Amino acid sequence: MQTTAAPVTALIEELAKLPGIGPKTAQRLTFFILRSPADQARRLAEAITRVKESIIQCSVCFNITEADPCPICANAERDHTLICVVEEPLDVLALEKTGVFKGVYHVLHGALSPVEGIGPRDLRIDELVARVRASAEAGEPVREIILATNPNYEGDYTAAYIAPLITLPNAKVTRLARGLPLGGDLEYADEGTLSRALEGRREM
Amino acid sequence: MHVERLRLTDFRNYHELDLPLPSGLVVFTGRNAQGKSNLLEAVMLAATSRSFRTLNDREAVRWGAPGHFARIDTTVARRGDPLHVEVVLSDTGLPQEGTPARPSASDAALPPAPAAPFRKRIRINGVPRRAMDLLGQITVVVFAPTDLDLVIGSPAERRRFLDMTLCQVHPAYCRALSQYQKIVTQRAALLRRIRDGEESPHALSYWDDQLARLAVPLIRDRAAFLRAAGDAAAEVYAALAANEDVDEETATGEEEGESGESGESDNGLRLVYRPSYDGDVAGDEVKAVAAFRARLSEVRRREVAQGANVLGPHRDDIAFLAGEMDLSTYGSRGQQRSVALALKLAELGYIERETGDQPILLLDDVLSELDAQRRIDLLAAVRTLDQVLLTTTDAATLPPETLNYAHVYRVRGGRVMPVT
Repeated sequence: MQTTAAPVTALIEELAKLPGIGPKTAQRLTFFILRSPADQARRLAEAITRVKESIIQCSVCFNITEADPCPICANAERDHTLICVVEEPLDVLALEKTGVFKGVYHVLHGALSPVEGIGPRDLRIDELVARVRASAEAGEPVREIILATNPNYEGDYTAAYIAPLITLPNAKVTRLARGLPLGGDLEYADEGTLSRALEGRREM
Repeated sequence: MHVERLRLTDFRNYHELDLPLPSGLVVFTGRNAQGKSNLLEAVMLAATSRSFRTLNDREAVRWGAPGHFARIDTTVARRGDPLHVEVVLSDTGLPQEGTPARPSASDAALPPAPAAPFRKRIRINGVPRRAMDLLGQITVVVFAPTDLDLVIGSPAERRRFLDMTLCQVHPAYCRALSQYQKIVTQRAALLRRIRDGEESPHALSYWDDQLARLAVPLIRDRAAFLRAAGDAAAEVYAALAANEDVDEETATGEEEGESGESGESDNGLRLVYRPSYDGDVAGDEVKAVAAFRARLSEVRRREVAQGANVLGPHRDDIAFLAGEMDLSTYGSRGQQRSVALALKLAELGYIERETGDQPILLLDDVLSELDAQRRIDLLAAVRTLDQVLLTTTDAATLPPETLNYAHVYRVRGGRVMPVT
């Protein structure tokens, strides 16, 4: 017996597909939307539609953007000889929030994972290599490539795969440091993190 | 160490149980399906967060339990500080502190929620912890009739035994093992992709490094354990097999004749580690890793052709030899049982030496499998242990002298009563 109206069930099911949303949360969100004013619900629906229709990938760095090239690539103030390679557009957001990084990005859209069948051709790796080569030809060679893939096996593997492909002389290839979180406590760090932090210690 | 108190809520056939337990030999007797083994299983879950019987934790929740959750609550006395471990297996996410999630009136109109992931919540001395942190807190050694598979089953059974033992004792082993498994999976997938022409063999270099780095300490720890456990296992085996050997020797004596004066030691049990990588792992770690790495290059063609990892701890095995005879294949059923038991008691000794605390021995329905003499030998061998929890359908299988010191409980329909 169907006790709940079909549109309600449909929305719950759709919301429950989102990452981080379980069935209970999906129900709560559905009833929140149901009770909210019509224009608010419409704005949400439009925002969802627009994000799919107007967002494209930047032809230079492959970050998601409305304009091509994206505002970061188009910004002459930024250092275009310093490229930070990340897995996902979300990583760009995170790094931008620091306000420390003044270079440009390259978004791979994933990490290599043989188990999931993700090989080099599924990522924007060839594009990165071509981009670096083109920079030399354009007379503004890339000085440094920061491989900022995630510190897990897939991310490490991706970085290890890319590093030897960068053959530009005088171009440094670096990897983000890993270790203790700021504001953390030594005694609560797990052994893996702690041993990495020891390996990556710096003179002061 | 010993379990001082075991409390169960909706665990298997126990609705509510609050059972204080003495140290020494504790015997649970009762007919089949009354809940004897469930008690042992509960102790094992509290020790390892895993069961020795089922891979599906959902089955552990009592059928028809209103809150769809089961709780195991144990208090353990050990050398250092006392320990309190609580494991909650729940079907509907986290229950509110102590009370099962109640369906409220507003939920009634909604369609039934899709099955929530099954959750295991662990608290050690009241503090929430991960399953990995639990290992090594309460140590147990389980012996059940299915442990015969250790001897006659597939190599995977023996590797699981090595891993269970070492994980209880060395947290570093446990961490390395879980990373190693990830690498083996990725590397196998990559080997298949290379075989199918989807990727170049150069991509292996990274995974070779990782595999070698983790394989070496795992092999080293396994070898060290088997060396340490070898003598103890041989000793137990000799005691257990003493009676059988009399007729065995007359039966096989002629064939053995050509090996010359085969002394007694020749028929003793030897645990032989058969690693898939036989290079040296004992010395300098950097050198050992490099040597392992070099061997990987040698087998690369074969690995690509097979699309599988051929070298590493996931391909190891243990052989059980008496003289030159492989007991896994040629031993009598009685000898094989003795080997399994010897192995378990050797494990117990090893854990005690490494941790300074004696594990709790769980003997699940093993007496019925042994002849009268072996029962006496077994119970004599475990006489001095801190705590042995033993189940049997028939108290008469207990050697009479054990009744002088055993604490016997009758288990019937999810209730446990001391027999005085």
